Order: sequence, then C-alpha cells, then structure tokens
Amino acid sequence: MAANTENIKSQMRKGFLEYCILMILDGKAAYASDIMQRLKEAKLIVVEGTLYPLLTRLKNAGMLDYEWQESTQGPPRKYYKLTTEGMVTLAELADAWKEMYEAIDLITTKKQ
Amino acid sequence: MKKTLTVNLSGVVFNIDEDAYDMLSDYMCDLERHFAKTDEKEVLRDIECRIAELFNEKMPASHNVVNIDMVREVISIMGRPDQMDDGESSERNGSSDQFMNDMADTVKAAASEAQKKLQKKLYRRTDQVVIAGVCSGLATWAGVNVVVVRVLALVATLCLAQLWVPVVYLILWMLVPQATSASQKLEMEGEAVNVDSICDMKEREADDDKGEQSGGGCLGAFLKVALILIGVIVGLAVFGTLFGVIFGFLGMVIGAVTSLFAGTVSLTAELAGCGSAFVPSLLALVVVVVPVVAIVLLVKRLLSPNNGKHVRNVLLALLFIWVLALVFLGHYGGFPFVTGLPW
Repeated sequence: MAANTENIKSQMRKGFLEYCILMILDGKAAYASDIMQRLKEAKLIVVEGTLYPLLTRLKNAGMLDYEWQESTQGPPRKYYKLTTEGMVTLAELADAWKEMYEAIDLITTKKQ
Repeated sequence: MKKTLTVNLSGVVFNIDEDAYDMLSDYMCDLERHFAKTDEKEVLRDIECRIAELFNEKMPASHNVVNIDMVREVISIMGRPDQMDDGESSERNGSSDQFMNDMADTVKAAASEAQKKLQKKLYRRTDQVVIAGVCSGLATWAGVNVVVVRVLALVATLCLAQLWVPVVYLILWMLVPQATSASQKLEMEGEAVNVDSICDMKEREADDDKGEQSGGGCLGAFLKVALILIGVIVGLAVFGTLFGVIFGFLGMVIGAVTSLFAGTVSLTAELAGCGSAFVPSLLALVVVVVPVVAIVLLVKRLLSPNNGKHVRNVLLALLFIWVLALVFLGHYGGFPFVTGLPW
C-alpha cells in the first residue's frame, strides 16, 4: 500500500514539476542552475539530477529551446527559453491547474 | 601521497585523485545504466556538464585537484539514479506525511534488498585465488566456506581419477567472469549496488591493499601460461586434422559427382551411398571444427580477459553444438576420436 501511495505522489509531482519549470521560464530565459535554484527554494526538488531528464523531455516535446552561452568560469552552459508551443502549453496547463485547484477546493469545502 | 589522473568533463580538464576518479566513474556508469533505458544521451551530457561546473565552483583557490570529498559532495547534490526519476525525497510537508514517506522508503529498501540478497551472481573472486578463483567464487555464491569447496574439489578429482573435475573447472574458468569492479564484487556478495555500498566497497578494497599484499594466484598464472601453450599445440594439431577432414570431405563430394557424371553409378544408388556417409562426416567435421574455434577464443580471452559477454555466449553455444554433434555421431556408430576420449 505504502509503495502505491508513493507512486501516486511521484506521478503528481512529475506533472507538477513540468508545469513549474514552464512557469519559471515564462518571459525570461534561464540556465539550468537558475531553474534548479528556484525549484530548490520552493522545496520541489532535492537532488539536481531530477531536473535534467525533465528539461530534455520538455525540449524534445518542442516546448523548450536552448542556446549555448559562454561562461566566465567553467564550461559553456545551456540557456533555456520557452518556445511558442511551450507558451501555448503553459497557458493550457495554467487553466488545467486552475480547474484542478477549484475542483479540490470545492470538494474540501463541501466536506466541512 | 596520492596518484592523480586527468579527466575531461565536457571539455574542461581536471586533475583528480585516483580514489575520487574511481568513485566518479562508478557513479557515471550507474547513471549511464540508468538512462540507457530511455536513450537519453543528452541528459548524461547535461549532468556531466553540471558536474564540471560544480567542480569548478567548489575548487578552492589554493588547490587544483579534485578529491574524494568533492566527488562525494557533488554526488549528493546531483543525487543517486534511483532518486532521479521519481524524486522521492522531495516535497515533504507535515510530520505524518514525513512518517509515511519514511515508512514507504524503509519498506521499499528492505524489499529491494531482500530481492537483491537472493540474486547473487556467480563471479570468480580476485582476492582469494589459487588457480583462477573459481572455487572461492562458488563458495561465495553458495554461502559456504572456501575451504569446504576446495577440499571437495580436490577429493573429487582424486577419487574419480578422471578428467571431469578439471574439465568442469576449466569450463567455469572460461565462462564465469572475474569480479573486478566494485559493483561486480557487490553483485557477487548479493548486496545492493548503489553509491553508498560502492563507496564502502572501495574503502574495504583500500584497506585490503594496505593490510596485505596477496601472494595468491601465482599458481594460476603458471597454469595460464601452460594452458596457453597447450592450447596452441592442441590447436595446431587439430588444425592439421581439420585440413585432413576437409580435404577428405571434398574428395568424397568430388568423387561422388564425377562418378555420377561418368554414369558409372545410378543416381538412386549414389544418393543412398552418399546419404549414409554424408551425415556422419558432416558431424565429424563439426566435432573437429568447434574445438578449434573454442580454443582460439579461449586463448584470446585468457590473453585479454576483459572482452565481456559475447565470448561467453559464443563459447556456450559452441559447447552445446559440440555436445549435440558428439551425441549424434555416437548414434551413427562413431568415430575413434569419441570412443577414445578418457571418459
């Protein structure tokens, strides 16, 4: 049973994380490490390794794009930004999130 | 004093301590295995890039060598492969939630550990070697004392006074891989392979190296040389026989065809004659050719033991074909080679 709860939770988190990444990149491009920083602040992610598969998946789905930027220290870094498709998806996800939020809100308030 | 290596992490060069390198390369291998399923080479490159970035950040101004503590820190930042895909450790609010999560983790860990315990893999031990580490590997696999297995093997060899035990030993030597890397050693002992256990294993190995210089294996080395020599001699002998058999076979075919064209024999009689001789001689050919190929492969493997799995599979397949051919040949009334064998 416990493993099942864990599975549901990780599924929820996965979908949620992708939405959050799109939100962070909305209107402003960022390095992976900046995105990481924001997610860590929000306590959504603990290990950095989680982020890279997500970014690649979003990029392959055509929602993100990146360009290489030279860094003063260390190797060149990927500078991620939203594509038009990503912006459309973000708007859709925002609606979906709102609906979900309202649904849960409705159920919890009715219960009381 | 420590030995250092030079590594290139996505275009940036680092000097790295040997122990730190081992830990990092094991970690990268784990990641590679983890992401191999999803075929995400890009993720690996990104992670490598990030690791280089972190090393750069963490490098104190007075140092220019990556040490094991830095690697450990970077691994804890990046996370183990099993933490990566379902992000178990994130988002923990409230104590009951925390408790549930911990419970789930413990149950999962215990379950997977129990599963791993059952799945011990058979390897040859490199740290307890008399000939090639087959006995010590078998002992570890079966969970009994090495001495028991060795005494059993010795007694069996002496009592049977036949070649069975040495032959089985040789076959195992060929087929069972050596446990060289830390993860293989963990698999051999049936422990879970993760970053923590690999680190533990590395430390244990380091202690072993300090403790004693193992003198074992010189018998193995001697035998190896002897085996290669024998292999070459037998290989040459069998090669000669092989030529004989092939020419004999060709001669038979040519003879059959020419006599057919000359009209001295009728087609039906020819087919009947050929049919009875054709299959056994083909089987004999297989029985002779297969050991040659096997010996060549074996010598190659002994000279460079790291050419992994397919050699093993090929050898297994060859063994199967050879035994099959031998059995059928025996059925056809045989070949002096078969009945002349020592068993």
